[in-house]
Amino acid sequence: MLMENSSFIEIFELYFGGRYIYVLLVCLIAALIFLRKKTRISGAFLLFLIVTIICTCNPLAMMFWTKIIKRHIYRRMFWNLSLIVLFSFVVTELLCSKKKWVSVLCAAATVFCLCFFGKSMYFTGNFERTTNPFKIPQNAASIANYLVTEEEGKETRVLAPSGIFCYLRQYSSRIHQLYGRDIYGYTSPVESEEKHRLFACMEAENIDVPYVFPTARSFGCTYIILDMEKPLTADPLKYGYDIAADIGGCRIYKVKEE
Amino acid sequence: MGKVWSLVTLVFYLGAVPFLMGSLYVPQCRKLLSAVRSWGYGMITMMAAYQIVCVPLILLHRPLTETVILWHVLLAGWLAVCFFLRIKQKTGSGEDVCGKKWKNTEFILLGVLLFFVLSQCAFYALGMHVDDDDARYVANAVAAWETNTMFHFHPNNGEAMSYFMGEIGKEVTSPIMMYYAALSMLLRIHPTILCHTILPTVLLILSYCILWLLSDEIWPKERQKRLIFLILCAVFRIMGNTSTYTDASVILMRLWQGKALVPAVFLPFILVLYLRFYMKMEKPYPVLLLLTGNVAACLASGMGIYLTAIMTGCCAVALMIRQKSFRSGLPVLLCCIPNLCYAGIYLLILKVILR
Repeated sequence: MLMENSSFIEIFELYFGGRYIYVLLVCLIAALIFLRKKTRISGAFLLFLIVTIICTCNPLAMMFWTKIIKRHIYRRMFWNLSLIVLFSFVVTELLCSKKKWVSVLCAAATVFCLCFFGKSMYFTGNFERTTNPFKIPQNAASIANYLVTEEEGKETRVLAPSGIFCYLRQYSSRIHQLYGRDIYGYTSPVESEEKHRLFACMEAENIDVPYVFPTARSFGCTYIILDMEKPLTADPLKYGYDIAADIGGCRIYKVKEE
Repeated sequence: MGKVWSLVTLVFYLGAVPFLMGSLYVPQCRKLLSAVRSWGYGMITMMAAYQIVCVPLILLHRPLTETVILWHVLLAGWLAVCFFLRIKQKTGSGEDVCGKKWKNTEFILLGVLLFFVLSQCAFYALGMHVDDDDARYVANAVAAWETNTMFHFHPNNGEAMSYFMGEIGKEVTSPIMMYYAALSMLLRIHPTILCHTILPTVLLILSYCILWLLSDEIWPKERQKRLIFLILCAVFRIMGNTSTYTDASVILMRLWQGKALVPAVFLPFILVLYLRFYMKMEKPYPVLLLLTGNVAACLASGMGIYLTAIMTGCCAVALMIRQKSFRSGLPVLLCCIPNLCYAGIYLLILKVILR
C-alpha cells in the first residue's frame, strides 16, 4: 500500500510489482542500444526513454513533480515510459532477427518473464459474471429499480448502507442520498456532524434504531435501506417507517404517510 | 424500434462520423487500412471538438443539449474544411506502401491477434468489473443525461451544487462524462450501459488502432513485424496486472474512465507523431494532429492534461537533442499550449472560484 511519505523506490517497485523491473529496464536499454545500428527507430525510442527517465522518473524528478501534482498520483507518471510499447518493439525486432539463436533466446526470455513476473488480468478475479445490463451489483440494481418504480419517476431521498450507496445513482439520478462515497473526503465534503454520526451508526455492527430513524426522517429520507444481517437495537416500526420490501439481502423501510 | 435507433446512431456516431472527420489527415486512398487510420484520427478529433465547446458551456452553467448542438455545428464546420481541403489533395498518394499479398503466416498471426483483441473486448462486453470511482464518474453522466444539466448535482448525494465542489472542479476541464452523456442522449442508451459495455469495447479497438498506427510508423513495409508487435502488446497488457496502478490494468479493467484513455490512446498517439517528427516523414498535418490529440487528452482527464503535456515536452526535448537545434522541437513544444490553458482554467476554478 502506498503511503503519503513513500519513497520513489517504494512507489516504483510497488507499481511494477517487484524489483525484477530494474533488470528488465537495463535489458531494454541495452537492447535499444544494440538495435540502434540496425534501425533508426530504436535510436528514437532510446532517446525518448532516456529523456523521459531524466525528466520524470527518478527521485529528483519526483521531488519536483510532487510539488505540482499530488504525491499519490505520481505513480501515473510511469505511464509516460510506455514500457509495453518499447518492450514489444524490442522483442519484435529480436524475434525477427536473422540469427536464429537470437530469436530463440528472445522467445524463451519473453516466456520466462511473462510466467514469472507477469500477472494475468483475467485470472485474478477482476471480472465477474454480469447479472444486469448496468453492470452494477445485482442487489443495488434491484433496489434502485424498486425505488424508481415505486416513486414513478419522482425524486426520492434514501439512506443507504455503504455496500450499495456507490451504485444507486448510477442507476438513476432521481435517487438522492444523504451522503455517498468518501463522506469525510475531498470529493464529497459533507460538513454536517449529524450526517457523520448517521454514517457511523449505519456502518456499526448494530443499527442504533432510535437515533438512525428519527434523524433520517428529519433529513427528509423517504426510504431507509438496512443490511438484513445487522441486528437492530429497537423496532423500526415505532419510528414512523413501515417495511416496504426485502431485496437482495436488504430491508427497505418507507416513511409512513401522514 | 428503440434498439434499431440505438444501433443506427451507434454506427453513425462511432463509425461513419469519425471516419469522415479523420479523412483530412489521410491521403485519398481506397485501401481498408486508410479507412481504419481515418477512423482513429476522427475519434480523437471528435473528442477534441467536444472539449472545445463543452468547457466554456459548463462554466456558464448551460444545459447539455446546447453543448450537443454546438458540437454538431463544430463537427459540420470541420467536415466542410475536410471536404474543401481533400479536393485539393492528390489522389492515391499512398500511405499503404505495403500492398503485397498476405502470406499464410501473416494470416495465422492476424488470427492470433484477433483472438487476443476480441477476447479483451469480450471481457468488457460480457463481464463485469465493479469500480467505486464510478460513483462519481458514471453518476455524473447519468445526472447530466437525466436532468439535461452539466455538473449541477453532486454525484454522490444528488444535492444541487452552488459551486464545483471538490474533485468536480477537475472534471470541469476534463468533462469526458459529459461527452458520454451527450452520446447517451444521441444513441438513446442509458449512460451506465454505454459506459460499462459499449464504450470500452469501442475504445479498446481505438487503442489497438493507434498501436497499429504506431507499428505502421515503425515498420511501414513489414506486415509480419507489425502483427507480431500488436500481438505482443496485447499479451503484455493481459499479463501486466502487476499492480492495480499499471497502464495495462486501467486499460483492460476500466477503459471508460477518462484516465485509462490516456495510456490507451493518447500517449501512444503522441509516440506515433514523435516518430513522424523524428524520422522526418512527410505525412499531412502532424502538428495539427498533435494539437488535436492534446486537446482530446484534456477532455479525458486531469491526468490527460499533464501527462500528455509532459510527454509532448519530453518528445520535444528528444527532437531538439537529435537535431541539435531548438527550433526543431519548438512546434512540438507549442502543442502543449492547450494543456496549459486548461490547467490554468482548473487552477482558476480551484483557487479563485472555490475559495
